[in-house]
Amino acid sequence: MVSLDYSFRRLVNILGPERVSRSPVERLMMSHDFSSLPKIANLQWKTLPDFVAVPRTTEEVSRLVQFAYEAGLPLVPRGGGSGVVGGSVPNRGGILLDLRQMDRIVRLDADRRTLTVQAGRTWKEAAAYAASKGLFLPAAPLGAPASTIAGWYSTGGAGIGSAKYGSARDLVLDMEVVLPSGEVIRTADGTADLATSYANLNPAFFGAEGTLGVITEATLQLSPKPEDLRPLAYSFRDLWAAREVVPALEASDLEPYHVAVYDPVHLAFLKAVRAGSPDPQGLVQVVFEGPKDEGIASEKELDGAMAGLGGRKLGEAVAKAMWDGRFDLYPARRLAGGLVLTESVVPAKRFPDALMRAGRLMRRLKMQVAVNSFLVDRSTVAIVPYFLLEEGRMSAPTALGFVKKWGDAAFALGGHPQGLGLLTAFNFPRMHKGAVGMYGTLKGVFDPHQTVNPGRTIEVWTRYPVPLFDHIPPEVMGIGLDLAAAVRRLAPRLAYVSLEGGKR
Amino acid sequence: MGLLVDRAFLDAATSVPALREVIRDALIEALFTRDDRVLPPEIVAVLARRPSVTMKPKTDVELQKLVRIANGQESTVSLGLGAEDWHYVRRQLAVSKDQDIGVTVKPSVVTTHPWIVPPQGGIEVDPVDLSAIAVDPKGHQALAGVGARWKALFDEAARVGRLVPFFPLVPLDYAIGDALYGDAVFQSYRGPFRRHLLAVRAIASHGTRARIGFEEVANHGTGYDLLGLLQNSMAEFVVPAAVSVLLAPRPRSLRNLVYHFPDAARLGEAVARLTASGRALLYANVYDGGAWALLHPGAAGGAFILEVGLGGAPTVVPVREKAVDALLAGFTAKGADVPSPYDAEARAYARTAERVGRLLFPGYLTFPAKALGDVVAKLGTVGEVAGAKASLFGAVRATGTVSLAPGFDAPKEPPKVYSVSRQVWELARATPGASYLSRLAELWSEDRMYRGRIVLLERLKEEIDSARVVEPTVPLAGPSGRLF
Repeated sequence: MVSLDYSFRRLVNILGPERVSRSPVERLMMSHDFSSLPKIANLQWKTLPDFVAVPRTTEEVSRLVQFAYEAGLPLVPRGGGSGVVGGSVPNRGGILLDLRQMDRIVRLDADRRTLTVQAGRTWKEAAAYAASKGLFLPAAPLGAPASTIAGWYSTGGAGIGSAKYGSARDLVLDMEVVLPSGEVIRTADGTADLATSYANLNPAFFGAEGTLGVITEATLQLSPKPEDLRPLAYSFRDLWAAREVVPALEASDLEPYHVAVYDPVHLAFLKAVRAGSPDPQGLVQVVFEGPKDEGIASEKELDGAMAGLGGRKLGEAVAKAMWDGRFDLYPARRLAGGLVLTESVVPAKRFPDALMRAGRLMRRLKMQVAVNSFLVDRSTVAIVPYFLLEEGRMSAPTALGFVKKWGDAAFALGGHPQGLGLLTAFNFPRMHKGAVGMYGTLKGVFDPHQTVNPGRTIEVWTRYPVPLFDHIPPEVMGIGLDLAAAVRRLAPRLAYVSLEGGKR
Repeated sequence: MGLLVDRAFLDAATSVPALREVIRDALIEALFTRDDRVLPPEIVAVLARRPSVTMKPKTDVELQKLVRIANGQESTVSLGLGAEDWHYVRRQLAVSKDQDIGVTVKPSVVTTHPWIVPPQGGIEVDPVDLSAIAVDPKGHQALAGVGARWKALFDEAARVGRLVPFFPLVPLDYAIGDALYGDAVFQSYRGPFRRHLLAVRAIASHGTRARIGFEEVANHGTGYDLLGLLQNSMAEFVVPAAVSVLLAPRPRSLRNLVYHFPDAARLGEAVARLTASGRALLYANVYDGGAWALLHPGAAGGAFILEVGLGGAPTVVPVREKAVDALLAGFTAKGADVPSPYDAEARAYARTAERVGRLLFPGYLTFPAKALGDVVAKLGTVGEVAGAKASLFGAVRATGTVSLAPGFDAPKEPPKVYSVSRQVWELARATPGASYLSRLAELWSEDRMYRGRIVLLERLKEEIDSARVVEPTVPLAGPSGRLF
């Protein structure tokens, strides 16, 4: 490995002095994503990158990747930093590639309804651009204002609109990727429909967290702009009372665009920071999108179904307010200064079981957790519990035990936790079982020298590049988090709001 | 056997001194049409090989045994065959011991044509008996053996109130596995087969079981989408045993509407309007008169037919039907009481498939709906040149594209298949926004990026199948080190 001073000079040669930084402030900003990480984590990982590099072209990215290999520095690509599992957080320093300035619209093909954009453009901006041309980008991440095109694809996420249109996987037709060798490749035939094509490498990068290469451009499939967007909201006494909503919608022949179930705790969090938010209650949001006549007919059908489940329809204003705030779900982090999100998917039919387990876990670990959920597709519901975290508090690391236990619950229900980040990568062997070797092989084929976002797939690297201590076995990491959960049970209750509204 | 095997063989063949000067396309033609006059004996020998034995495992345990036998981990004794069969299998496999004993999977139905390189001895798995179907009575998911027929899955799902939401583009009697190692294209109006594919249970080359994907939930954010990456070449990496697919609830109201159009241009315009409307359909199939007559012998049909499947709540479907009628303005007749082709009785479906299967299908063309008139006219010219009438089977996607499988009424002789396929490929290249999915086109492509992708997949195959058991490549030369 070459010296950091030499590396800095080389990076400046590639990008110029204004787009390479060694400033502690910038490096600190890039040392975490949306989820908080207790400071103690720095004992295990060097989350502070050595450099922050801001490329604007694919060629620059290619040169940076080649340099990272030559210098023996890990290179971590990062989009808007809206990930929640530490997928773009360095584990051994190195070069952090901030791709947000690669945000150009490359072309729009109105006939084929495709939009080609650079990887650093946010989903919200891309959607707004499509809308300005009379088209519709039908799915978006929950963090769309910050989440970049490549970022969401790399986290393998589902989000708003996935229930009807699928996830990012179903929208991306073709990508330009800089491989860890520095070579630039197109991942699919740009003219091909998604139907079927051979040698389509798009899926390799879906959910890869940038471990196989750096996505620099993507072609997205757009849809016709819908005539009508109809957000509806239904109130339930509490979250448990809304437990049958997801299985009922799964079994119905309605085709909602988006279905979200909000926990009263979440609404209490919102209320504590925004006075005008709805009162704590089990709140179900269903959105229909498409032709107006079908929207009206679907709404009537849904009203009947929800009434049958004990739901009370809320006014248009509430429904619209919830819909407008769909990308701003976590203002409550300011109550504690930090927040941890953990996402798992479980079979939709097991939604009541999942709620029951989440409740039991909260009681055991004496934590206040908001359990929000949304429908991913017919059979899958994503459950996204989050809790507030004061990073500096001594007991903060113990709260991470919830992340492990919630992942365990998802496995037990036939689902899996999401994410290939610092705190979740240890789940990898458990998720893929007999096929895990193939996943490791894929990383080995694309990145034989472990240059791009290394140490977070089949092995979890630590910050110490010395034998025996250079990685932490997944089982050990799991035991550590189990231990954290056990300690958490002994610690005092963590609660920030009361369900009657207001701060505690 | 597969794309990677064929491409590796082609690359290797060019290193044979006698073929070094032959232009790649001419070489492909000679290999495909088996023009033994221009091929050296070692190549002819490769093309003439056959599997040593064909086995029909009934369970994935038996399938695993076959892989382990090929891998040298078990002996043929563990197959539990009768004395005569055991001696036959042992003798046949021993004959091919001078090469790797590979395991290849035999597709149930091939729409177009086989790959160039046949199985080089070894064990051919006929998955016809891996046909168990289990539909989850509480959820919307089914686990089907790779040999289970799509139609059987459709019927079983219907029996328990579910709908298989993906349909074969050409109405042949495919097995589900044909989408993984054959050339079957399943899709719905809303999306490709991948959207409905949850997981594959497979046997890896070292004889271990592997589940790629998740059987009950979609795969999101768990590392790479290995399932999607390997989907079309699955049997070149692992031996698939069963497939978990996503189902939909069977809608309370189902309608199969048929619209007749006087010409393809008007149909194309109507389809473009339909896809721009954002209306949710189950399927939208396109046929010409010839294809329609094969599907419905004796029934009257226009020159072009659009078959639309609607499903949903009883209050929603009539609204949708009315809107679809308006969007498809220009049709000459409408049939609202035509039964869904997929609800046909299994034997009737198989009979229809048998009729359709006699046609020569070179591949699948995908293009913007507006170009339908142009493409159909050009396909007519291809048919004239080939001296064969084309019947057109197609499906529309919500993205505004049409995928068309032209079936030519011509004998399926390799020279004919080659020339027709080549002409359709030229047609696709001359149509803006069109793509052509065909096994031959994958071999013709010399695009630099495509080549790079293939090299990566070849490296992946080499690593995943380091035991060289799953459809091993035919070694004539070593692999190159660079992508481009």
